[in-house]
Amino acid sequence: MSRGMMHDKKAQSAVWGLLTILILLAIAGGLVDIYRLYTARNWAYAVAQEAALSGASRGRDWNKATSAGSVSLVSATAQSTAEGVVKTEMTTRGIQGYSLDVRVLPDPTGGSVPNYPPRPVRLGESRGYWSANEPAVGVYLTVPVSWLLLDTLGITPQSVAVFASAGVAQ
Amino acid sequence: MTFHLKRYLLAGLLAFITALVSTQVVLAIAPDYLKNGRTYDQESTYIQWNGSVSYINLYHRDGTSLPPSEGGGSCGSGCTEQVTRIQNGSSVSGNFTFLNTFNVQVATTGDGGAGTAIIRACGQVIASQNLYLSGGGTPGFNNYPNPAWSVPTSGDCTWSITASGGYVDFRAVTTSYRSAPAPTVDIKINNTQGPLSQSAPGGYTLTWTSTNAASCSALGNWSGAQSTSGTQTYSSVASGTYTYTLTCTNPSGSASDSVTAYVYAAPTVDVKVNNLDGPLSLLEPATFTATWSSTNASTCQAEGNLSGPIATGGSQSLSNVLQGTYTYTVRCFNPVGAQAVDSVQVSVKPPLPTVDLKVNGVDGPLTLEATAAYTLSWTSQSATNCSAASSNAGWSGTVSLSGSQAINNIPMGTFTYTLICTNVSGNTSDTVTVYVVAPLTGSTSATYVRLVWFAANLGLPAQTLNGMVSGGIPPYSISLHVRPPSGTDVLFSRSGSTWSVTPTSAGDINFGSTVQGTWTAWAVLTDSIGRTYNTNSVIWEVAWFPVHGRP
Repeated sequence: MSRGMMHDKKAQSAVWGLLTILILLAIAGGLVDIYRLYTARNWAYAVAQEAALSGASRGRDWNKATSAGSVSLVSATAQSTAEGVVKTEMTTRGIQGYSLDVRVLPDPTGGSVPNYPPRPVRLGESRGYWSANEPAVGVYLTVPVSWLLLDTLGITPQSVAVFASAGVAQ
Repeated sequence: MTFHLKRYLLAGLLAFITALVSTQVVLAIAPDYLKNGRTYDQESTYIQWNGSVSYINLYHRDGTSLPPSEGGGSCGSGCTEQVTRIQNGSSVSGNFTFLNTFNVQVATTGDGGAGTAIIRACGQVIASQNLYLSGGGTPGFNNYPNPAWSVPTSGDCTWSITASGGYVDFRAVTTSYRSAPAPTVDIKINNTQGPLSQSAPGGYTLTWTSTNAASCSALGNWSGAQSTSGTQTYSSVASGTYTYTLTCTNPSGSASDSVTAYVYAAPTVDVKVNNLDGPLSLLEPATFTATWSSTNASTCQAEGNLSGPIATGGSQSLSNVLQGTYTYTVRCFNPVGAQAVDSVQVSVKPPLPTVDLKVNGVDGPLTLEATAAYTLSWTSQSATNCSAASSNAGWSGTVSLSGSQAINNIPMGTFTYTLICTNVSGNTSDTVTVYVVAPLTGSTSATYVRLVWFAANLGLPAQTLNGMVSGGIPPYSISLHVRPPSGTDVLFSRSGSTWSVTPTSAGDINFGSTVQGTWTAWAVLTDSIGRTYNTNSVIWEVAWFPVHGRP
């Protein structure tokens, strides 16, 4: 093989190598962004679930439980407690631009909320018609997520939405 | 006999004392009565000086002799003798009694200082002798008056020699007693020699006579000079012993006589039975004591139902005395026969009746629940009739001496039934009481029908149980049973008509909420007579409301 051919082959190999490296870097960046999205979603869900549990727990109306024998929720208490939990977590992480929608079903028999949560979310029962057969607190949380690579690829979603709820067993 | 002997001994002792005292009274006059015969001026107990009087040694020559105290020599040839010189205006004096004759010896003298001797006796001047003899020379004593003055009375008199116009020298008084035997005296009381015994107030008359007495004086229960004969009457004399002694004297001696009066107080006697004056009413068989006491009594005798010779005071015990009326009399006498009597009447009656009333066979009180029914039954002994009374008038009026009576449909209340049985001695009653009460009942309630598990830890209330009791007979005791879901009863004791068990009183702040599940409580009520009642049960639920995540 000639030296020229040898030189060309080396040049081709370098190009291919560079391309390969670039491809690998793009793949790696995508994977990182996907992982980031996954992690953000799980964290957001954990926060929403903690907020829902706290709201349901703190919101229990003991007086009604003593007098009526069945527990219900004090809506204001349940809602403020849930919101407080989310706010605390967001402040701790320094996250801004999140959105929070807390709904309370105070009655002992629960109820339903139309159009809530506003879109399907993982672990949610259904979209647009949250219902429960017991007093319950629903937390719908949207948290912004910054891409590392995918935004350069024109993939625009930059937030995760989660929904969690907690109820009080009778 | 002993009594009278004592009285005579007493009278003798009084007579002796009287005689002794009477002698002192006779000799008590001052100066002393003149002796029979010659009394010299040196014997001062017989002569009293008045004014300026003194002894002097005087040489005199006369037919006199010196007194024995000065040797007794004759003064026929002259002698010196201590004599009494009475200065002008002064005197010597004395007393005499029962005299026959009286004169004095004073000296005449040629001394111009001599005066006149004025001699007085029995209130009169019996001589007045100028003792100055012009040229008389040596003094010489002579008797004045001469012959001696015959004393006109056997009684007491005074004598004196007064110097007038000069001095008088005096040496002796010469007397002669009347010739008479010793006096006699006899005193009687109510014309007896006594002793006299009377009941108070006494009254009697003393009469006395004497012979040859110059004077008489009283001693004992009377006093002072008395005439030689006379009477003295006493009346309203209180009880006591009175001795009247009269002593009469003359220069030859004295005599005494006494009488005694015993004035006895009226006797008294007091009879008592069981220390009461009666009349007494006692029940058969009676036991009692009759006692008596007396004052001023010498003897007492038993009369009526009191028997036997008795002393002036004492007692008799009587026992097992049966029905009847008894009089216990004591009559007492004093020594002069005055009497007093006292009696006590005792009526011994049959014993009081006995009565026994029962309800349902017991003496009661009996407690029954309304509406009640029970039976009264009664027996009596020694009763003549019985009558019934009750608080609700359901049993009243005359009833048989024993029997029974059914009482029905008695509502709540307290009812007393009294049976009174009588006889002549009185009445006896018996009473039974029946308490008709509402049935014992009560309730238990729980403050909360639902509780949160360990509610107090959440600031929520734990359980409080309340209850009430009524009917029966208070006080009540309550045994509260609290059964948790585990099924093991916990007991709480309470009392009163209302009760409660709180977390504080139960000592558990989570009382009734420590276990989830159904709790049950009820109370067992007991009244004071042991009647019991189980209240209703109460239940409550203890639950926990867990929070869980929803998918």
